[in-house]
Amino acid sequence: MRIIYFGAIWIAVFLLLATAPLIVLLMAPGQPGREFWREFSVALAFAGLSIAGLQFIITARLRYLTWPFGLDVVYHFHRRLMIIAVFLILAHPTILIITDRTTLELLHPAFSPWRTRFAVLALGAFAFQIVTSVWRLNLGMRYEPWRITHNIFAILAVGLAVVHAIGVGHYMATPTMRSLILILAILWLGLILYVRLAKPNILKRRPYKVTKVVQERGNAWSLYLEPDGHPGMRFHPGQFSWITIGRWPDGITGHPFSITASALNSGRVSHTIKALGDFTSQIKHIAPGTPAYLDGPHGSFSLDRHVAPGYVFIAGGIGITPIMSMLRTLADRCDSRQLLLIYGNKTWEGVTFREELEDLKGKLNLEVVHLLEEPPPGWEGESGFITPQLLSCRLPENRMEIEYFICGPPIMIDVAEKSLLALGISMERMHSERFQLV
Amino acid sequence: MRIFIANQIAAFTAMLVILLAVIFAAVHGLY
Repeated sequence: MRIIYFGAIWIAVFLLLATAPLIVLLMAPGQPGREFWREFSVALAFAGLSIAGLQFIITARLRYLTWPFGLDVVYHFHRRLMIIAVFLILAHPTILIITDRTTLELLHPAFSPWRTRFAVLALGAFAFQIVTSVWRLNLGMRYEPWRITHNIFAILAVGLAVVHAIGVGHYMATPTMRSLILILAILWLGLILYVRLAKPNILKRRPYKVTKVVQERGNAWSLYLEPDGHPGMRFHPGQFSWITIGRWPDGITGHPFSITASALNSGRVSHTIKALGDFTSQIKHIAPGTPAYLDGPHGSFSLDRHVAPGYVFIAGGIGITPIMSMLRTLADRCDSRQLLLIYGNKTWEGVTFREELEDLKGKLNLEVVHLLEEPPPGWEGESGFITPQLLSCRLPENRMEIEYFICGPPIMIDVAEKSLLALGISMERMHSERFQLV
Repeated sequence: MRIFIANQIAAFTAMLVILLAVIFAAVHGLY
């Protein structure tokens, strides 16, 4: 229940901050009114700017703020909100131009006042953010350069928009609005300083050391780390952390990966990473002794938050990693509850942790159902993809009382959730982890 | 479930600010 209360409080605070400029304008406008459409467009722009500024808080990875929801959902929320914010901000010039064609004259390069130039630059920065974030992969942008430009353009876009509002001056000239924007600006700036300066310094004081890198099936590599001069972090099985290898933990170049170790491992952690991109393909080359920094733990995908008489895990490919942490932890706890793992992979040879899962069946009340996309000749197990029929055959009789943890490619998660819903499983019992944060 | 709730809150936020903007423009812009 504590989680629900905290979640509700944070949502209420968010709504209050998002609407704060409009509430202030409504309670103390301080200026004579203008025509309806102009006021409407100004109000939308203030709301859009307020929501955009709030993203500095939402994406600051503040654990007290994100733990009721899970960081994957917080980032999803951030993406949705920014699309809404940019629409609200774009509506401002659009309405002004439609209702008063003379507004277009302000865009003439020869006569354009500086406040308008700032507005155009801010709109350009916001548009750049949306295009490069939504279509990053289509544009062929690598993750690290994208993270750096995304951070710079975020500050530019909000900063330029605030300068434009100050330049127009109408409502920004009122003491209440000035005070509000000043408070918000201090908050945004403080968070930027915390994320870029204070937090890296905190992480720097808690270094880890790579102890070994082990190849796993499925083109994956397990990176083992141990704390260097501190007791390490405590985490719940299924959580993840941001890893920075061998350099200053600047908060930009880190990458998020699930922890695969048991939560009872006394500070030592391991992450199993599939070689898919520039960073992940380099994991195998990391030498033992290399320093590393962990920002975490993050995430709400953990059975510790959902006590039940049994659990069903549905994993696709490398989505097994957080589930592996849960299974290892349950084995260390000598847990005897009923467990079912439905594990989809392309080939039998590429099943990450195949042998260890067999071992875990001896330690836990665990049934493992392998589901292969390309089964080898003579395969007698399940093949194909997750379907309601497969789940209907495999789920235990007490299927309405147990909890479900799903992790894998987004399409697999969607299909698994829909299949479970079709079988009458309530949405509250389904928990998923979406790897694709950006 | 969590994604569904996040989408609902985002949509609610959009509707709330648009409603407040309409109220503000109606109250203040129709002097």
